[in-house]
Amino acid sequence: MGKIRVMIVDDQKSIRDLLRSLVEELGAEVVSEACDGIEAVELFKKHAPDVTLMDINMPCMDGIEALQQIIALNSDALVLMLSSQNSIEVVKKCLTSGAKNFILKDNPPEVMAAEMKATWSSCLDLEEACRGEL
Amino acid sequence: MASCNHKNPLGFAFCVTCGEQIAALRCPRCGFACDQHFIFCGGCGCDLRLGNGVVESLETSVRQQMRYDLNELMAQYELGSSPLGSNGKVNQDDIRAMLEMMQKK
Repeated sequence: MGKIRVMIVDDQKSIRDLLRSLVEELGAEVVSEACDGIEAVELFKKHAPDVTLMDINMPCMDGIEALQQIIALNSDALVLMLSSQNSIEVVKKCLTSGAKNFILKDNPPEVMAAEMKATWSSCLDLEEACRGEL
Repeated sequence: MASCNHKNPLGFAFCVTCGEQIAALRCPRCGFACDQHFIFCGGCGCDLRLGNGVVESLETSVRQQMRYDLNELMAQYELGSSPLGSNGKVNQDDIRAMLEMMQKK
């Protein structure tokens, strides 16, 4: 399997840069970056990334709406939410809308990286296994 | 024990003199409700002294309660019988627990 292709969605460049460095340290490749939900949906259609790292609070369209639109396009899309919002309601809304994980930005970078890798490893391994059975 | 040092009867949730909420400590072996001044568990005789790694910290106790609430909320949510939690805040461990629960369903 080649490098995992990742899209980063966050309105803050400093966060996008941090996530890019974490993604690259994990051996994956950043194929696109978006700074709001509308751009995220458009770039998802264009690049079909293996993994989308999605912020919640963004202008134009928030991350939850973008998540729902991406899942409507591809119900198997692997979207990981990244946010400082730690309310149970927000987390549940994301998970029940199809996000595969919810990573709190308050975590140290190494914890965020470990969560990302654990999620995409388990989800992509499962996909591979399913393809192998066909 | 409450911060006013009044020794409330076992099982009381709030101090009867200052009104402070009292954290319930539970024996890690048998779950018996123990007061903070207990050296040995009243249920099974387990040594509760700090340093033996058997006294549950207040933080752990609260966290376990939170986990219980999360599970309750999740179950209610799955049944469609309840709105989600009101002011609940979660940490990464709670989110992992929620994911595990969703995967089991």
